Amino acid sequence: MLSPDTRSDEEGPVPVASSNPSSAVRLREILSSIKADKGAMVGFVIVAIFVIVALAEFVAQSTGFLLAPYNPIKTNVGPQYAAPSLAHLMGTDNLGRDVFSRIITATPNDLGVSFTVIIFALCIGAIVGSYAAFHGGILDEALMRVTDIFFAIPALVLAMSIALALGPGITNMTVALMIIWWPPYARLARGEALKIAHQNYIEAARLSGAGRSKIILRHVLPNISLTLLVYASLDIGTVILVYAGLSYLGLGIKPPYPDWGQMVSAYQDFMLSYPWLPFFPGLIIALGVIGFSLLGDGLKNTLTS
Amino acid sequence: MFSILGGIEIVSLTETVEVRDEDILVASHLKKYYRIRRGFNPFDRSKPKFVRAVEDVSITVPKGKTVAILGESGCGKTTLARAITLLSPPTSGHIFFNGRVIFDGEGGKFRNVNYKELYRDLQMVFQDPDSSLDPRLKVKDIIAEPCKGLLDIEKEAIDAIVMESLKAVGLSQEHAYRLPTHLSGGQKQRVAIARAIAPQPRLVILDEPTSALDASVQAQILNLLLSLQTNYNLTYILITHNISVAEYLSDFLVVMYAGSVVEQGPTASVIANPRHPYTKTLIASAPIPNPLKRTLLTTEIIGEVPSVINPPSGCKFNPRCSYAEQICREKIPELREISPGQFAACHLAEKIP
Amino acid sequence: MQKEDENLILEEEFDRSVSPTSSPSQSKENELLRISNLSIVYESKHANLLALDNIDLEIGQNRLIAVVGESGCGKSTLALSIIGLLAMPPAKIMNGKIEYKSINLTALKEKDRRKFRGTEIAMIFQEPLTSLNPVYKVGDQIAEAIAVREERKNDRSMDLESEVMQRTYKVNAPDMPSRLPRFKPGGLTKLLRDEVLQVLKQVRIADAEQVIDRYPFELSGGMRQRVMIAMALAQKPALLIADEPTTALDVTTQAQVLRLMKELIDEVNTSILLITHDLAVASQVADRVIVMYAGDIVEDSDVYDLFREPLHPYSKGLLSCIPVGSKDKAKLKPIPGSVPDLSKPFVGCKYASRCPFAMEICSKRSPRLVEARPNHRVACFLYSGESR
Repeated sequence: MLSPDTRSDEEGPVPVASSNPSSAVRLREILSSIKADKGAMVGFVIVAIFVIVALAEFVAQSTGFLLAPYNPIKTNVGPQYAAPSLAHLMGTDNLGRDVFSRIITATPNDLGVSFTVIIFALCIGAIVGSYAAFHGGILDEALMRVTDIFFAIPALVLAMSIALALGPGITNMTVALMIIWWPPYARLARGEALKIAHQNYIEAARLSGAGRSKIILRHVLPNISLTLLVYASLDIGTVILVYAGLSYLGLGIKPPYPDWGQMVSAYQDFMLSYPWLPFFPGLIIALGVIGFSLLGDGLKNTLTS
Repeated sequence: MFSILGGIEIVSLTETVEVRDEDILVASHLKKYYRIRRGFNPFDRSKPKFVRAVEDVSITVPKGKTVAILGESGCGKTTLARAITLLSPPTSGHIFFNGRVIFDGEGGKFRNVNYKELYRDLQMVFQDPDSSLDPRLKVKDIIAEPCKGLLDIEKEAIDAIVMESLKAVGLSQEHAYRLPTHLSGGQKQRVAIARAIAPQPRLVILDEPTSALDASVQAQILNLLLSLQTNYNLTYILITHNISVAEYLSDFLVVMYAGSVVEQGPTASVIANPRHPYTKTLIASAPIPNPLKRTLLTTEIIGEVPSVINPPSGCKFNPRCSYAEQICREKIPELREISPGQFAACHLAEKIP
Repeated sequence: MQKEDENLILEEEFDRSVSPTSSPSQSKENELLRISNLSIVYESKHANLLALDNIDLEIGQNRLIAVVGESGCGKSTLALSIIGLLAMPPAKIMNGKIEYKSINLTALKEKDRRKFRGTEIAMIFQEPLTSLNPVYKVGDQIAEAIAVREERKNDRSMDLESEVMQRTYKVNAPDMPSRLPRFKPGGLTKLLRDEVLQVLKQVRIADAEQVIDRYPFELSGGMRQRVMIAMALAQKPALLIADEPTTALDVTTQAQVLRLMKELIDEVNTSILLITHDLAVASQVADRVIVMYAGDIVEDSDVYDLFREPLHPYSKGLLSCIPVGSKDKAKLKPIPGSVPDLSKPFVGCKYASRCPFAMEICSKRSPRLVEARPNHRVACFLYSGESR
């Protein structure tokens, strides 16, 4: 027995928010509410800077064009251990390389890994989770146990073991992260899919001749995407951190190519004598995580209000 | 093989069911049991328990008419509807629809059912307007979905059908581009009805179509359903707990209690002269807008709907029945004909006032 | 079921003196609640919604008053404002007052207002499952309600309103310790077991002994609603507000609960304000019916008078929406159109756009609630020229 409805019928008062939202209008709404939220705005700016730099640097690297002020690999472009100055914004390291250039060059890698992992986890997780929810039975149980295994072992340890098995390098690292990152998304997708599995519109879809796959594609995935996206936006920061940790441990991209985590590891001995060296890579990692987290939080507030 | 009355006899593996020409749906001895999952205790030797949601129900639906299935929560009416549409197929029984047998037998041994063909002629309108429309799809896509899935026609034809269905339910072109969140409850229900009639079905099951709506909106929807029935030559199965709505819309009434049919017959006769104590209780509890006839206050109603796992022995209504006698506690009454066309499952049907 | 052309005209001879509220307006002593000129607005950055527009209403003792209206008419706002549970932003009282036993509730601060909530004025809601705490046993929850009453009774820090409350408390309670074992599950129930059982029996729960130890999810909807009523009545309120208490229940359970509520009025000496969308339910249990539309009271009358002669076109329309009899005999006449947008300032009678009797004045001015027949008020220009 249900309660009476919220309003009477026919050309009744339509809610004040746009009566006919196209995607463009929704986007504008989302952007304006992000602007209103100061935290999210900060996050947005930070992320925007990161993304722009990553894209620009990626294009530059592919075309052989040097975007950074100095060549990041060539040694002795400046004096060794120079403190930050106008010439070298973040100082130089023990081999005379410009830290700022190294950081910029490393940006597309770090960001690229994170985005790849998250997107993979989202897609695979959503599909596997939805199928498990709608199939039930053995598939569902198997998925639950597999994800349990992944939950039982700490992410970092798991990634390390896979990376060690595969060997170092950025591709192997990314693959290792992809393997361990999707189970929580599958779990989340399964939960969300179960929530809507009994909605009448799913049954109506069955009455429209739709098979399981069509229902998942047409009705389930669009309706669970919001929750998954919110979760993902908060998760990107975590991937950045985990990848930085792994490359700190030496499992990432091999020197002399720059990589934030690896830079922290290489410069940590100079913490007391030349503190700017480990400071800046660490700062960039932290900024990345904070920026994405703030933006993710802001998105969460907007999209779930 | 033809029976004396001119219908067709369907001879199945287990029994013979008689179907007349004028019936569009005949469901016979439908049962739907849910097994209760037990833990892994290896020492648990008790027999598996079942929830007997639908217990031996038979229904006949004549073409062009409305059959109302009336009952309260837990009586099995929604389960019955989902069993008939094969969304949640029965445990056993037979279903004959639109000229062919669509379900026959025990636990999953179906006759070859072509679901696309079936749902072209059999559709359903759900109870809750909020959950029956996909919140991410526009109205026109919602209505187009059954057409795309069930009919093999081109896009332009589908668009035409969508527009026509919208018009038929009293909505305008402008509504086609809205999302469900920007519609009122009545409008949403109209969309749900439009979706159901778009593939031009022959039988539509209405599951509490107006329970969630205000009185004035309910009146509009009820009248809409009536006019659609005439214009599109539809047959309705109406599931409801509201006896006033059942009386208004239906030609035949089937009263269910705790999974079984307790009374059935032409609506007017059943309401004027109920032969089962539960039907009498239902009628007395239904609020009528007449303060001089406060049957609601004067009728003694005791107890509540029984457990479906451990129903009372004998007649399931006996603990609450003021006429109950010893035989009611011992023997389950059969549904028998009390007067022409009217059936009741009560040992004392002739004796009660 | 009777089916008539207008199911409004009652066939039987009706003796006016039979009606309990047919006597002219009650004297001040019998009056429990008086609302004068109350207007409540919901403010938001998009728009201001006028939920209640200058409402006047009175409730006497030992009466069941039904407020009937469809979604959005303001009946829930009215209920919440009486008991003081309205979220004050975004809601705001523009003008008017709510007087309970001559005390102006709207002028009170929250800490004083709280003294009335639950003790003098209690409320039960539509969905009993969410009104009961799922992690405590039913017995504990009722015991807590009783304990609160006792604590308040013994609280010496109350000021002048306490006189009013002590005047109405009639209970003989056992000796209560000043600090009750509130947070120990089961502790209260041990102390107050007899009282809890008594309260449960009062709401006609047969196996009260077992129900005390049950959790809310173990009970059926009807039982839960009775427990809600028991908890509300445990504090012996003078006014019980019931917001759609039976909408979520089966029709037979609804009949039982309504019957219980009607009987409790005299047993417990309380009045009930029943909020419902179902005019038929109102006809079956109410002494007086108030019909609301879009934030206005459009008709306020004795129940028998209303059904014999509904004055306001909306009341008539609402009655003709109720299906009575089969489709062949009496086709339903739905009300065309829809409720106006309450966020925009409105000129004229809010029902005018849907009213078959609308006159020119109806779109210009808004009618006042006047007594068109003895003890039967209506806000419509068909019956009076008075406007607001």
